[in-house]
Amino acid sequence: MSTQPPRSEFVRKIFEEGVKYMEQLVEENERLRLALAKQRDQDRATTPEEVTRLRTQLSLALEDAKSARSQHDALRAELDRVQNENQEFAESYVSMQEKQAALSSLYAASYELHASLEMPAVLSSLQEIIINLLGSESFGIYITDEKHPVLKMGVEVGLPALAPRTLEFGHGVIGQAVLSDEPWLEYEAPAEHDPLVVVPMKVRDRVVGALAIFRFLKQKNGVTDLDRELFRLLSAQAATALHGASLYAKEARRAATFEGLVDLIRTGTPKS
Amino acid sequence: MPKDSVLIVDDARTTRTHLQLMLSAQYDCSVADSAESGLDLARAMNPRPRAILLDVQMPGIGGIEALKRLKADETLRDIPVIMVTTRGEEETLAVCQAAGCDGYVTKPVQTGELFTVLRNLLRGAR
Repeated sequence: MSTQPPRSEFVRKIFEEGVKYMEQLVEENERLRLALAKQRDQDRATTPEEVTRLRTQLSLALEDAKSARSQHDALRAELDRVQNENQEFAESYVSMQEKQAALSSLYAASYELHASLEMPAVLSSLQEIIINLLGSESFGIYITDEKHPVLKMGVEVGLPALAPRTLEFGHGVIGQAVLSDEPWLEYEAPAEHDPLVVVPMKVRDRVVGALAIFRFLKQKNGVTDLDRELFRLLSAQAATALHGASLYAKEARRAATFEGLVDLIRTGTPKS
Repeated sequence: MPKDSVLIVDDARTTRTHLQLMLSAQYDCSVADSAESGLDLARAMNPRPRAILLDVQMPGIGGIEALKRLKADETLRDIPVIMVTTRGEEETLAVCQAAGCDGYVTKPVQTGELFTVLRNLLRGAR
């Protein structure tokens, strides 16, 4: 007889050990599962104090955000205000620059008109003003005849062939314009030989002359406000300058005659 | 801050007075009444003018010849020259450009246009 355990006993033992091992595995598994669950709960669960602290922190953060937003809005409004102010300053700077240029123009015109009492110099200044400050390409400066109510050409530049060189008061566009009370008259789409602008030049009610502009320079786009100020200035100041030059010429002639007479009386011979 | 100096060369006294008054708030202006005296003044100025406004139509050698002489003179050629002209025609401008002008403005001079051209040239020359 054999002393070795029977084969079935061996299988049973192996099986029992397998069961034990399986039970140990299940236990270990359960332990790990519980540990994992605990860890998850720890992760998830926060204490009420922590919740309160987090809530407070959140609330403060929200307050900060709100404050930052309102600060941002205030800064944006301030920036807009400064930008608008800047824009206004820029506009007013340009406007002041334009005004300064306009005043410079008016001052230069006025100054030059009264810089001399000689008729040719006054006419030359007037011509410069009309070309350089008014941008006129074709114009005539008419001077009133000393004895008759007639306008005669004093200076002409690029005048149309058919434009009048001599005209009576009340006749034609220019003759009628000098009798009006307006400091200047503008005409739209006139005939080629009719003026675009007439500036009657008067000292009180006496017509001293007239400026008639027939064409402006190519680069000039119409009559501007500054041009109208210059027309107004010419109407009064050029008239005074022309009148002064005319009186000065008369006085010079009279003085020359008087000097001649004095020489004649003194020497018995007229001065050559 | 010292002002930039600008030399105005024009035979018309009205234009000289006008430009001088217009620019004097921002620039130190010197004036000459002919192309020849303008060249002499530009050579004599120390320091040299920062820009020159030169009338095209003047008695004597005229603006174009003066421009050519300025650009031929190595001590003056770097000064920006702005031609001032009553003639806005393209051929006049082409002649000015061929002679070496740096900019131009037409009469009657518009403030904004003149200041823009001057500023751009001075900025470019710095």
